Amino acid sequence: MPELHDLLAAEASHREPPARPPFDALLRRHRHRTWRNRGLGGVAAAAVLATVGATLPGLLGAAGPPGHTPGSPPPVLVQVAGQLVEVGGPAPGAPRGVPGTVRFTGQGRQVTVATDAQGHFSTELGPGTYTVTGTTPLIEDGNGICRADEPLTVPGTGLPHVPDEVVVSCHIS
Amino acid sequence: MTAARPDAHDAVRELYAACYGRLVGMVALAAGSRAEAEECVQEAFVRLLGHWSRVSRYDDPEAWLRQVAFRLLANRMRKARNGVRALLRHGPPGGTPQPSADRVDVAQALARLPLGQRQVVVLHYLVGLDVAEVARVLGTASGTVKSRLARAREALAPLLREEGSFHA
Repeated sequence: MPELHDLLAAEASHREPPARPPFDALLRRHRHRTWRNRGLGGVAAAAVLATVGATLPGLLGAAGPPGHTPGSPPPVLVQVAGQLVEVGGPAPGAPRGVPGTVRFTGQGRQVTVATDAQGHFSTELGPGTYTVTGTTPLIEDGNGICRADEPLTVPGTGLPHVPDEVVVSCHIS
Repeated sequence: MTAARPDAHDAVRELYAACYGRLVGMVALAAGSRAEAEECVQEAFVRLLGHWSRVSRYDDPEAWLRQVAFRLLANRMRKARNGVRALLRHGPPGGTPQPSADRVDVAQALARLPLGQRQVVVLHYLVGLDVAEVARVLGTASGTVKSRLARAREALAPLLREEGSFHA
């Protein structure tokens, strides 16, 4: 009769998966989590500064960024991350990340950010509501417009959460 | 949590290639489900990316992964158990066939054990950890590990007909 260790080892071996998911998928999860944590950290830090600013306006003004009005709370920047993906097409499958650029329009200005080869992007935005669009050279030579399903709302100081990952979809007919 | 640097990514990627399957097989024995085990092991690797600067200095980073995966499994099972406590009061489903006389079905034998006992059996008999090490991995008392091992031995002995093989 075999030892229990041998039986368990054989059974564990049978339960090993035939393949492992791509390591990049784990990296994305890690990065996304890191971005979210940084965003939360930024909001928390800004909230603390705003509170201090109410009692020590001179000190806060001296430490403010260039162009920042002394005595007013510093601008809050929240890390926003997401992916530009193509969806649909003659043989639709899972959304596929594509390289390109993503544009955030709102609060009287535009922020444009380039994605990596898999469509991932990240940037920092101030509080407000933004329309998110994108383009990729892989669709209509860069003339097709990709859009997020809904406007992006970046929380202001003291709000409890940062935005989830933004998905900008390029629909192929 | 801090962002992992690219060289850390390479190191973790190498470890991932080397021991992902082995860890999943091991955790699946305790979990009773490969899917559950894969989720725990993947989450352990994601966490490793954030702690690599510290864990890379350990003698055996795989042991850290195993510990995290086993604790995640325990947490998941605890949450699930809280949700279906009433159902579990009825015990394991009836009608489970006995292992055939000529084939020792260790999977079936393990499936009859509670999670806590499966964990100590895997860590002690498969991984080869002593009682104190098992207690550290699971974040529990040595006495708890001893009693779980004793109950597991008692439950497994008739099923495996292995009385002579148990030497804790």
